[in-house]
Amino acid sequence: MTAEENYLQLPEWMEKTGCQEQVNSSPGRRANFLVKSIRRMKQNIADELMTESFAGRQGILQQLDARLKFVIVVLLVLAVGFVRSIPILLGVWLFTIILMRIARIPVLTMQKRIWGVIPLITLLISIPAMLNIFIDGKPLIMIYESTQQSVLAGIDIPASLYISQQGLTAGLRLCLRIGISLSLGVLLVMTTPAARLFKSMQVMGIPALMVMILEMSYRYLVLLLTLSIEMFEARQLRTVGNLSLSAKREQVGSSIAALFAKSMEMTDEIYLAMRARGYTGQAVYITSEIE
Amino acid sequence: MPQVLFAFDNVSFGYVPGQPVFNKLSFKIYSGETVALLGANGSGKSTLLKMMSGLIFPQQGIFKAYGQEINEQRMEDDAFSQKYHLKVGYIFQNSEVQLFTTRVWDEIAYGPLQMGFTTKVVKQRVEDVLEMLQLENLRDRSPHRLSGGEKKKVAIASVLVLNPEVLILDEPTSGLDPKTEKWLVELLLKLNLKGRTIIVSTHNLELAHVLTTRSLVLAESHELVCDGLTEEIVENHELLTAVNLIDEYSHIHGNIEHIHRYTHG
Repeated sequence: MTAEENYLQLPEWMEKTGCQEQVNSSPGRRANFLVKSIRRMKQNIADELMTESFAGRQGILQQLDARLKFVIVVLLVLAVGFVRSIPILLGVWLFTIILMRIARIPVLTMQKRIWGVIPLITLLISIPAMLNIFIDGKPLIMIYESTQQSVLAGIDIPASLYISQQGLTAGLRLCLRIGISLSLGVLLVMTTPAARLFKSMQVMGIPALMVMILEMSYRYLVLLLTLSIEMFEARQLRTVGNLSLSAKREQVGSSIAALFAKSMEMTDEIYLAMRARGYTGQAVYITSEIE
Repeated sequence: MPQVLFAFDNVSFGYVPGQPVFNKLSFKIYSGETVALLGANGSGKSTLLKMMSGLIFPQQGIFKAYGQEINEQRMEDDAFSQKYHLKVGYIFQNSEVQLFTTRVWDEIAYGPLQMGFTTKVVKQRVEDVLEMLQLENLRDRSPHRLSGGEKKKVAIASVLVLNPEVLILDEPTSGLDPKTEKWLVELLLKLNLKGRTIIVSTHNLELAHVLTTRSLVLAESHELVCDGLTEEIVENHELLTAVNLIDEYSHIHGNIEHIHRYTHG
């Protein structure tokens, strides 16, 4: 048959439905990593939408000038970095919670997210720094005690090894500083529409080009996330069962490669689109829009 | 009597609480039908198609396919999910997202391999589909280097190779040239003649008219405002204007003012 005669000639197996020649059908239930990945990515998109929704509400903090909020938050973060008193740090944290309440942000949900990951991990990884080897002081939790000092692989091991009170205070201080800084950042982002936030950075003296890159990164991060969700969904439709570790690696690898290729193509097109509208390498902005 | 394939009973869904993508939808789709989902951008067409494909699930109400309720828990069952995805094929609006391998041949073979077909059957099916869609000369090409029309053909091939009973296509002709668009319509009509159920979302009234017999119209308020024969719906200008599928504009020739209808497509 010629190609012309073959045009839209259905193969025999496609002439009827229900004629499937599978040999391995997958029994059981799955904890498919594709489903989990999709769920997580969708949650990120929903969070992004939620942030914009809170930022657009009519609240006292939402109505404040974006530049003023940006300056206050930067100054507070710097101040938190210098403050050593834990009661004062706790006071600033309480202050951020009150502000969240005023801005009608769901305090409990946000606090769980803020403190649940980064500060907690910081606290865990700072445990070795709390030991008396680094910060000497009053013993709080004794780990090891001996009558004499020893040397192991050239390292002096003290006669006793413990978490000191001063060490624990330093660790808590670090954890509080990070958590409060994150709370302040969340407060700023959730009460200021993204466009105004980026413009206010420019007013603070951050170069226009850098602001433009940040703004584009934010925009395309969401776009690539949406693209990734659909890629994973397309794959989910044709994937069944628990994949082996190597198959998972292969899938993630090819997804990264495909997404990278697409983002590279998109980069060229975006640049051309910018050039087509007069971009010559100098980002030109007006700042009156944010007032 | 045709079998009920999909049954929506007061189904609501939204990505963000308080912002429904669609609200309390109730309708049925029968086997062998050709159905168009009509609606302006953002009316919830794609989300509805994803629900029929078993990718997302109702937040309220009940969605049944083949007489069984479809929910997240059920779709996590491998055996059920496998059968479902073999019966219901979904072609994304953006072909880019469906193409992720480095070779067209591998792309088409991906589905049947995952579904547990023998190597012999996979090879045979891939070759048949390549021949049917005249894609043989693209077999070793990288999918992301293809033209828009070629990408769409490969995306369709990657689903057709599984021989699904239902074909769901999201905006199938968007970005296609007239020749590829005609080819796609002919292919879908032929598959319908062979018993496949065809469901398309579109705001292209011409496509809906030539391809489908029944249309469901979604308003911008995310509600189902009409369910009827496509040939009657495409003539109902009042309805189509109300749901923002057609628009009117006027201009003057000589001294006479004309009013033209602008159709999205």
